[in-house]
Amino acid sequence: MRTTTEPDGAPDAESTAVPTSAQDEAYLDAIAHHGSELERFVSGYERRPAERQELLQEVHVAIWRSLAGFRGECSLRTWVYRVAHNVGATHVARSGAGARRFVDLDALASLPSESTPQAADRRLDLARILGLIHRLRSPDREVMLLYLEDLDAADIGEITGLSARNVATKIHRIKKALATQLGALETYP
Amino acid sequence: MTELELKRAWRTQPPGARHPTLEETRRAARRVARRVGVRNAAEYVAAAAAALVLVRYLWLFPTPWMRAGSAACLVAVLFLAWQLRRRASALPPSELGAMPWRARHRAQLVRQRDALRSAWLWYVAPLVPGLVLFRWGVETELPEGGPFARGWVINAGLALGLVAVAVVNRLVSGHLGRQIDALDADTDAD
Repeated sequence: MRTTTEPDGAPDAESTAVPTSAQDEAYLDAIAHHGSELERFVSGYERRPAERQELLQEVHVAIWRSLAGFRGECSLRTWVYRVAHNVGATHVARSGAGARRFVDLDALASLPSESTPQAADRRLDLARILGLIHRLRSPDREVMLLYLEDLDAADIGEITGLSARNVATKIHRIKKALATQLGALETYP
Repeated sequence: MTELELKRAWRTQPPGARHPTLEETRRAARRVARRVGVRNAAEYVAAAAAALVLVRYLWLFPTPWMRAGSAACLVAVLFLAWQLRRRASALPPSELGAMPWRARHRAQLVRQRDALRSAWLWYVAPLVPGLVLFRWGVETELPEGGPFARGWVINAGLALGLVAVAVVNRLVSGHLGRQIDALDADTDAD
């Protein structure tokens, strides 16, 4: 099969033709299955709509370029999520926001609650959750985003590089923070 | 709101952003590759310009010591260009998915710390022989009976400059080391 990329992942001059490479196919597969998650991850790293759109494109480019090195060492989902979080965390670090601006999950739970009488409003809740996510430092931010995607501790551990025990501890803190911040979050045992 | 309802609400948000097509992604990737290419080319052009000046000195300078100094500096500049590429270039994009962010961030910090910590060896030391030979050539050419301090101010300035580069790099590497320790402590704390 004719490859449309150079060995380092950079495209050659003729790569705008019909998608035929394994890299293109893996990319299209990844976006078809995980495109909506990517959009939600990006919203967790950038609150401004215009910059969010740019970051989403940056994530797409990073995924496409990275897939030149994908050899199936992990699942495509794990690979795509890692790329998205790597690009997102780098974006936050690059944006010049001081590390002191961000807090860990313990501190998040102790922040003053923003709960309002309209707490039942789903959009308000999601906006508040996004506000909380934007306060978190890495890797707590990744864990919270993946928790909201309903991944289990083992999957979150594989993506973030944290042990399953660490992830379980962080999820416990996330639930506590959400319960504090959203007023009444009923959790399951 | 239950935990399940919260997660469902999160996952069923209406899509707001437009995903780029494959062609748009390829075009954007080409722009990134071009930018990286221009940046790399600028580094090579700077090294080539310095090398050209030093090559010209091989014919321009009057004494064998000064010419030997230029030759040694020329070798040092080429060595520095190679070392900078080897030690300071970013990890390739194909490794983005192979490592979680924390591991990748730590690997980059370790790489930068190690490069800066040993900068005296690969950045400063290679320049010393050429500068010593060159200054030796200049000193032996100075006329008799000149002021006692004649070239010493320049020699001391060069030596201080090289020591300052080594010390500053060492200090920054210490700062990066503390960032790595904090990262490790944060991991252990959980």
